[in-house]
Amino acid sequence: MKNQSLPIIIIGAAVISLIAVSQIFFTVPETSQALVLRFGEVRRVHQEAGLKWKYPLIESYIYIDKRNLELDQDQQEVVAADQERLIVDAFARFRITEPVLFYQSVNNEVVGRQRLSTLMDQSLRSVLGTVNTEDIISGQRAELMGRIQSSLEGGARRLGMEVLDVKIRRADLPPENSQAVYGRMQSERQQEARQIRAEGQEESLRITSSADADVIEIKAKAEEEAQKLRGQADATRNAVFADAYGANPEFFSFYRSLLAYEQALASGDSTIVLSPDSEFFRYLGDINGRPGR
Amino acid sequence: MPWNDNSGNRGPWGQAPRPPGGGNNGAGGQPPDLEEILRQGQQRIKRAFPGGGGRLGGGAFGFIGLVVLGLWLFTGVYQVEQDELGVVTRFGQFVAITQPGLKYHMPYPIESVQTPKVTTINEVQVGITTSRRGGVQDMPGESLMLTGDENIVDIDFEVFWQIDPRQPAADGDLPGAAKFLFLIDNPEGTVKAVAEASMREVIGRNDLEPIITRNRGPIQDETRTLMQEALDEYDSGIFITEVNIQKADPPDAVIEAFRDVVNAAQDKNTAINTATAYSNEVVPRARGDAQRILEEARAYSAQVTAEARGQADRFTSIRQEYEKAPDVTRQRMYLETMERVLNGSNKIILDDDAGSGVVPYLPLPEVQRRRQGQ
Repeated sequence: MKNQSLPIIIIGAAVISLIAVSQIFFTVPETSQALVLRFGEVRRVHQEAGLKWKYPLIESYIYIDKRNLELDQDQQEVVAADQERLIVDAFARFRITEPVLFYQSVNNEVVGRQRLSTLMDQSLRSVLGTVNTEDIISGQRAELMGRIQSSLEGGARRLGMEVLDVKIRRADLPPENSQAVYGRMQSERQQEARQIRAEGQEESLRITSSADADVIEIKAKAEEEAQKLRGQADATRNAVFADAYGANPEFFSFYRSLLAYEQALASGDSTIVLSPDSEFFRYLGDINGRPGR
Repeated sequence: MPWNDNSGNRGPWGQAPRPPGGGNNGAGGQPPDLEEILRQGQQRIKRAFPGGGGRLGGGAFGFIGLVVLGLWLFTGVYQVEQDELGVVTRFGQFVAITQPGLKYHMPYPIESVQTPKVTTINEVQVGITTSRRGGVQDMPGESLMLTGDENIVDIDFEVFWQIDPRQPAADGDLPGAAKFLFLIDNPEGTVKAVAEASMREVIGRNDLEPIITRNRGPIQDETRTLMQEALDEYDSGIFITEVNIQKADPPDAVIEAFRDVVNAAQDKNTAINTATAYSNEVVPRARGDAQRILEEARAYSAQVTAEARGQADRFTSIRQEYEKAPDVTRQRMYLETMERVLNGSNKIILDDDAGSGVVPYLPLPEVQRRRQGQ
């Protein structure tokens, strides 16, 4: 009998000790911290991970997240100091640093997030309400995020949480204002485009008119030179003629008259009425070939 | 403890390295090793109970107990793939990082292991979402951002990140993989939120013009730096390898106006080029015309002087001959000229006496007709 009951005893002892162990020991993972509660009262806090123990039956434990957690706000409309409205989407990073306080004040993470979210809403509005839109958008964004964080810190600490960071994820103009911005951007570009085109016209006119002026100047200079040349040629001509004809003006007169007669009457359609008494017909009426009269 | 000796690829019983069937359950898929173990176990049992098969119940029980013990010990075998690191925890507390290979940790539930993929580069897209089927969808809410000069710009970018491979800064600091697993909630979402916030912060400090034209590199770098600072502050164990702006354009609503500015610049160049072409054409042509005018004048000059000299020379020659015998030459010249002149003309010779009464009746039209009839 003894031999047969031994395995049963061993198995029974093993099962009982397993149950006991599972009731006494528990592990805390790196991602969490744990509170040991005796009938709802916090007895011990374990912020380090590892194997922990508790009294069986009378004590229980709960985990509270230890990680860096994200609190994502819904986007909301904020009125800046210059009365411009902005759609702001912000988020915070927080960590539960005082699990006892946290457990006592908000009990669990869902409620904790709600409370923190409400606080953040207030901080966001109060901080962003004191500055102008352009500071939110550009200049002092980092500084503003710091201010929101510090104004949030006190409230969060009272709930056992530490705010690690607040970031403005988006800060945009509402759709109506966006349209106005688009309109302004468009008109800015239009004036820029028109200016560029006008500059093109300006440059174009400058080039063409300068070219036209060059053309006129070039031609006029050429004309000037040409007239000078022609004048010089005419002068030379006159000089040459005067030189040659001056040697015997009387003969020139005769010679040139003959040339002129020939030129003027050469065409053949002239009708010339002559007197037989003219010099040309001196011998015409005389049979002896002697000049008449 | 022999279990902790992870230096060699040998299991607790010195068996050859062999990948276990699956993770750290260790129970399945190892028949040869198991049989070996069982045989060894049986031999030990036989040595422990010299009576052999005589005490069958106790022997079987001991045997079953050893099998259970073996299987339990076997739950400590695990494999770390080449792209992974093993993060070992003992009762939930981090104890060690293990390198790729076949490893052993103390059996469940004392120790357990997680094997995050540390070399994989993950991608987060902002401004667009790529669906599994490869379709790209624009997310205007994410991509439209206000610039420092209160314009709106449409930016799509992607962030590449991995589990931090850098050595921990301080001794007490956890390695990147452990931070990634233990210290941060929703890493993927964190990267995206930080990316959006950082990019908007950087864009908010810059003006529209440089953003859409040339300033992408510095914006990417600045965003990466800001992101890394935040993620380091969060102890996230996330390392940003790259921030890549895929698109930085004016919003769709105004992009036409921006394109028109580019077109205007083209138009300007076109106008200038056309004008220059005109200039290039008319000025040389004018120079040609000028040259022609000059050449004509020169030709006129040459012609006139040459003609004048010719005529003068001719006159001079004739005069010299004339002066040798003036009377004869003069008469000859006169007669020759008259001959030529009168030869080609209609001639009417009227005696002064006879003609004095006739001239008024001279039938000039008749004379004309006769000439035409010829």
